[in-house]
This record gives sequence, C-alpha cells and structure tokens, in this order.
Amino acid sequence: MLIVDDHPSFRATARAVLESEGWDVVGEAEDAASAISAARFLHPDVVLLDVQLPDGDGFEVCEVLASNSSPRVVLVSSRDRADYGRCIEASSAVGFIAKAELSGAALAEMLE
Amino acid sequence: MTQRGALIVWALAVAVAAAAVGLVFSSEHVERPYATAAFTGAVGLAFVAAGLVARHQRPENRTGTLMTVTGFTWYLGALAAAENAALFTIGTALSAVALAFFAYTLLAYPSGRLLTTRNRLLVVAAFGAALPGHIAFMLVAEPVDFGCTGCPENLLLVSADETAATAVEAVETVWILTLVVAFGVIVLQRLRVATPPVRRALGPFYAASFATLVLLGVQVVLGAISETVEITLNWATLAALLLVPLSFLSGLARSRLAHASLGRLVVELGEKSIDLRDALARALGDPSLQLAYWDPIEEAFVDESGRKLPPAEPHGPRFSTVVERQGKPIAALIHDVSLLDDPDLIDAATAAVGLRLENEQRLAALQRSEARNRALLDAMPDLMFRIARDGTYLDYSAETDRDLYDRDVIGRTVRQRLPAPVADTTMRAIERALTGDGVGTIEYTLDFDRETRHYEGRIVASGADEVVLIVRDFTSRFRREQALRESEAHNRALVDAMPDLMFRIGRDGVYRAFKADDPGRLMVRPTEIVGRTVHDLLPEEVADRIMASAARAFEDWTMQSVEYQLEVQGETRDFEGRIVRVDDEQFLLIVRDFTERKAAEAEIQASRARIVQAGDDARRRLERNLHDGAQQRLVAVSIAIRLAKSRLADDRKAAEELLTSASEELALALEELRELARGIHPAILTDRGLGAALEALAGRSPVPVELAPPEERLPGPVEAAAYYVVSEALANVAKYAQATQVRVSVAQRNGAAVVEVVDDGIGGADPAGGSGLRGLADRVEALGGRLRVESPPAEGTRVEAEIPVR
Repeated sequence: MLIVDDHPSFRATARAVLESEGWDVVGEAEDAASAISAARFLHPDVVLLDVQLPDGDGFEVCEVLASNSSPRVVLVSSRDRADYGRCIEASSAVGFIAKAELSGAALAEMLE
Repeated sequence: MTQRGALIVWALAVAVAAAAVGLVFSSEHVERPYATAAFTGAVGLAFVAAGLVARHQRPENRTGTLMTVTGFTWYLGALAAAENAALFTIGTALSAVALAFFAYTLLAYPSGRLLTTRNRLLVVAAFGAALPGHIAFMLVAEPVDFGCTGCPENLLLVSADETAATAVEAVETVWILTLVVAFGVIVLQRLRVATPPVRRALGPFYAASFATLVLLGVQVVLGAISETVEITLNWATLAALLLVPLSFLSGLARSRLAHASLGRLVVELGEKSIDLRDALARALGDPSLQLAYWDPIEEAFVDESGRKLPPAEPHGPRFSTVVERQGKPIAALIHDVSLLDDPDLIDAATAAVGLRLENEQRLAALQRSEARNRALLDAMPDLMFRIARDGTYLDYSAETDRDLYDRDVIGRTVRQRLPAPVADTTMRAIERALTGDGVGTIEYTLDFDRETRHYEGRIVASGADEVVLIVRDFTSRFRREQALRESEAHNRALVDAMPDLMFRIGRDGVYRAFKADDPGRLMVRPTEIVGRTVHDLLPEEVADRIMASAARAFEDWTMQSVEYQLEVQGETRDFEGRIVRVDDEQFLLIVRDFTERKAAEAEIQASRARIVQAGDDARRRLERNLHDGAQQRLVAVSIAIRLAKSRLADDRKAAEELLTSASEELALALEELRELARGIHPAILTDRGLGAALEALAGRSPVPVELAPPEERLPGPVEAAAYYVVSEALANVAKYAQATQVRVSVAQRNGAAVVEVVDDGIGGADPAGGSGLRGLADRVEALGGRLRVESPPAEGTRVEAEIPVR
C-alpha cells in the first residue's frame, strides 16, 4: 500500500488506521511526481491517492500509473464523491473513498 | 399781395378811372365824349382787374403785375383830354406807353418773364416806338397834324415842319407795322404749338391780342389814307383791347372750370365702370394723358398691361407727376408739361387718382377678405348655434351630440350650459355682434371628460335680437401647433446642446460649411475644409462609410450613425458621426469625439471584470483554505475518533491518546474556521460598526497602531470598503513596511469618508503592483471614490481612500 497525500496529518492518520486493520503500508508520497516514482520503485499493490495534489491532480497520476505494471488505485478526497462528477467513473481507478469514511474494511470491500 | 393790398390797388384804379372819365367830360376838344369816357374808364379798369385776379391766383407769376401796370399806364393817355397845355402835352406823349406795356405783357405771357433776347429786343422796340418815336413826331407836328382840332398847344413842338412830320410819321408807321407783324407771328406760332389744354387756357387771350394787333396795324396803314376810316378803326382797336383782359379772365375762369370738372372726376371715379385714364384726360383736357401704375416689385412705373414705362425726359414736352399715398408711389400721370402751369389742377388730379386707386386697393382687399370668409363658411362648421340676445339657445346643429359640451341645448342659456368664464366671453361677444361690430371671434377651451378641447367661435348677428354662433374645434390643430412648438423647443435645445463639431456637406460629398468650437481638433486647417470633399480629407474607408450612410439618410430621411477612428495630431481618437439629411441637396454630419468616454467605459468594464475576478479569487482562496485547513483537520479528527472507538476495548491508553490529539485538532480547526470567517466578512463590522472592527484589526496587528476611529456610523458599503482598506494596508505594513508605528484614521470630510493609514516604514510600495491594492482601488472606485498610495522610499507609506458617503 502506498499513501499519496500532501497533508502529513492525513498520511499519518491513514497509516495508523490501515495498519491497525492489518494493511501493510510500504510508503508515503506528498505530491504527484513523488507518487509516480514511488509507485515505480515500490511496486505497491494498492495506491491510496488523494485527488488534489500540489503539482497535479490524482486523475493524471492515475492515468500514468495505469499505463505500466498498474497497481490498483483507490482515490480519496476530503471532498464528496459528487464534487468530481463523472471523473471518477471515467478514470482507471478502482473506486473512491471519502477521507472521513476511510477504514481498512471499506478499502478491502472495494478491492474484492 | 394781400387781399387788402389788392383792394387798395383796386380802389386806386377806380379813383384814377373816375378822374380820367371826369377829365374826358370836362374836355372841350374830345369828340364823342361818352364813348371815349366809357373806353378810357373800362380798358384800364379791365386790365387792373385782370391783373389783380391773376396775381391773386398765382402770386409768383408776374403776368398779373404787368397787366395791372398796363391798366394804370392806360390812364396816362387820358391826360391828353385836358385843356391845360402841359397836361395835354404829357398825356399825348405818354399815350402809347400802355400799348408798349401791353406788348410786354403779351410776350411775357404766360410766365410773366421775357425768356429770349429776341423778345426782350422786341419789347424795347415797342417802348421805343411808344416814347421816343412818338415824342420825335411831336417835336415837328402841330396837334392838328395828329388829328386833334381845338386842342391845347403842343408844348414839345420845336418848329412845325410838314415834311419832317411826314417823314417821322412814315418811319414810325413802318416801325409799328414791323412790330405788329412780328408780334402777330409770335402769337400765331404760340397758338399753333400749344397743346389743347394750353390752347384752351390761353387761346382767348392770344386771340384778342392778335385781333388788337391786326386792327392796330390796319389802323396805322389806313389812318394815313383816310381820317374817317382811322377814327372807326380806332374804336375797333379799343374794343379789341378791352377784350384782352376780359379774355384773359375767361381763360382763368376756364381753368377754374377744369377744376370744377375735376370735382366731377372725383365723383365719377367713385363709379367702377368709369375708365380712370379717360376720365382724367377729359378732366385735364389732355387727350394724350397716360396713366402709369407703380409696380412695387419691379420698382418702376408700368402701364395697364404691365409694360415698363421709360421715365419722362427732363425737359421734354411730357411730364410725369407721381401720385403718392402715405409716402409711397402708387401711380404717375404722364401729361403735357403745360399742365404744370396749373399746380392746383395737377394736385386735384393726383388726389383724385390716389383716392380712386386706394379705393380699388381697399376693394381688392375687401374682396380677398370676403373670399376668405366664404371659404371659411364653405369649410364650415362643426357646430352652429342660434342664440337669443339674452343667451337662450334657440336652435343648434351638430354633426354628433358627442361634440356638445352639454347635450341639453335648446331653451337653456349660455350661462347654464357653459363654464362661467366661457359664458361671460360669449355673452359679451353676442352683445358686440348685436350692436353692429360685424363678426366677432372668440377663442375658448372646454374641459371634457378626458381632454381639454380648443374652440374658435364666430358670432354673427342674424336678426335684431339673435346671433348665429359658429364653432370650430381646432383642438387637433392646436395640438399640432403645440407639438410643433415643443418639437421646435426640443430641436433648439438639441442645437444648443450641440456638439463641438458640425459639417454641412453636399450630396456630392463637398463640404459646404462647418462649425468647430475648437479648430485645433480638426484634422486639417479650417481654411482647407469648405470646397473639398469627404474623400479628400478622410481616409477612404471612413469616407466610404460616411457617404454610404448619407445615401441611406437621403433615401428615407432617417438619422444615420457612423463610428470611426481618426488620427488627429498623432493621436488615435474615436468619433461618432451622426448624419441627418437637411434637404435634397445636403446633409449634416454631427461629430462627437468620444475617445475619453470610450476609455472611461473600457476602464469601468475592466474594473468590473477585476471586481468579479477578485470575488472569484476570494472564493477560490476560501475553498482552498477550507479544504487545506479546517476540513483536513476535521477529517483527521473523524478518523481518530473512529480509531479510538475501535481501540477502546483492548487498548484504552492508545484510545485516550487518539482522543487527546483529536481534541487538539478540533481546536485548531475551530481557530482556522474563525479566521476564515473573519476574512469573508468580519461579523464585528456589521454588529458593532467600523470603529469596533478597526479596534479588532488594530489589536491583531503586530505593528502598534494609533487609531482615530470614525465618530459616527457610515453606510454599510462605505464601512466595509474602509475596513478592507485598513485591513489590507495593515497586512502590508506587517508584511513589508518594517514599520514601528502605524496611524489609522477615518473621518468625514466634505461628504466623503477619508481613510488614512500612515506608517513610518521603508516606503517604496508600488501602488500599481499587487492585486491587493488594485482590488482595493476597484472596491473604492465602485463606490465613486478614490484610492491614493504615496510611498516615497525611506519616508513611509501613506494610503488614503476617499469614499463619498452619499
């Protein structure tokens, strides 16, 4: 699992929540560029990807990641799913979880 | 001579005549004393009388004086009847002087002056024959020799010499005959060339004079042969001589008769059928008389068919007398110059002509006015009422009852039906019409349900005690006139408010005239415009558009508008040209320079765009801040609480730590939200006013603030603008100024709120740079205010906003 978010507080919280539910978090990234290189380097199975990043958005990162060995991407955001309209369905991501609802169980359910 | 003078002269003449007659009767040598006395008395008196009358009529003419003198000298000859030798000699010597004066009068007639040298010589010759010639004979002849038996002694006799006497008598006979023939020829000549009026006036006088001359001549010739014949002829000559003054008087009388006929003329002229010229020719005795009419347009005299008449030659036989009326020529009489001898006649004639022509003009005017009235009647009428003197309606006719102010008419009175002021006017007009002042016109208005209508009423007496009131409704005409007046006023206002630049241009594009308040704003020199064409002066594309618009304006009279840019003195300026057709041949191009307005409009648009942009930016910033700040913290709190809940059973300590950190996050999130909310709109500003809000700002400022808050509340938008000015300025002070002190004041001055933020920092702030200041300026300008930033390096920064309060 790779966590990509520009807010360190969220990254820490997410890591704590997911690890407590048995997920193995292999790395964190704070922007689009480092997310892409981390993904190439770490080969995570799953990428938890914030939509809004300082140097680009999650959809773009999602497209780049989808072109090669393709980890499964789950988009997260503090905004509501409806705020992104059809962008989430159109992307290669597996799904979308609002940050406040993030839990290992919700993630597992989506990936099954 | 006064009338009294004339009477004295006449009395003297009578006295002298009486003396002469007395002398004749006392004489012992006068044969046929009765006849002699009668002729002696009568001839002199006749001449004096004729002379006095002539002088009275024409005092400036010397003819009268000459005749009077002739009359008096006549009595010198009567002295020859005296028995006293001296008196007899004097009388005999002077007996022919009267004849010489008669000759003088004859040649001087009618002017009373001898106008030619020939005439003067002839008169001198006559006096020569009468005095020296006669005296020379008396020097050598006894009284018996000149036919006087029993006469007193001839005191002039030097020595009786029959041969000399015969010789002298022969010379004098030839002399006198020559004179008689010369005078006769002159008189005949004058009669021949005389125009009819002259002949009528002078004919009798000349005829009698001619007869006298002929008889005198015959007497002179035959007297030498037979004494009896001479005596008979002498009586005939005397009779002819007596006729001279009498015929002269008759000429004057005939001239007076002509005056009388003028009187008749005036009467005749009253009848339209009489031909004016014929009547005048008859009255003035000048059949050749022409009547010329003044044509005020041609400013010349024309004949009846309108042909222009040449002016009379200055000294020709024809003369123009101008007939004037009120100082303006209306006609001219072209007549024989001799008529001028009788100015009274001419005056009377011109007066008569003037009167007639004036009457004709009046008649024409009257006919025109009649025609007008008839037209009015024909075009008649909307409403007619027959009204009795007391104001009672007797009858009426109206196209529809809707035209009636009050539909109940007959039997009621003017005062009952109409409003008091209208009724008063109407009743007065009725009274005037009935007292015979003709047609009376009244104008009045009546208020109907929905409108005020305007009327003109004409009141004509239709009987001794009733009138007809004909009413025309001229409301629509009145309105049209009013609309016209208004539109004229409107147009005038338009013209007054007119624009700097106007050109009148021909259909062919040639400038005909222009008006430029500021010639400096023309593209070319003012002298180079008129006469050139639109295409000469303007860029082709602009000229084409102007001429195309002009063509449309000529087509349908609409106003056209063209916008274009021109380089005027190195500057691109925007113009709006309005094109209005003036007539078939030209149009007006009214030009307004709206460069400044356009720039101002662009600035307003830009400012609006910036305000919108600033709003968008603010919202974006707000969303971002919410997202990055409070929202993230709340997300973290939410997850932490869930995690704590799941740990609560097995790891109570970890759960407690999670809740503690969640609580801290929550506090931070709340603080961030408060900060954001203040950024959106400070609640304190709305609730407590600008003063309190500024105090809060000052309290948060890291640089100490000296605050002079406003004394009273200002309108909401003004307070908000002032707040943001101070807020932004303080933020800038904190960020850049390196100041130790800031002074903030808000005060009202001249109807504006003046906001000042002055620091003692490093200065050098760029007013144009930075979206913060630009946004503030937009906000202030949107309220009609002004933002100034002064920031000289090292002298601090002064931000001043002036915002109108109303």
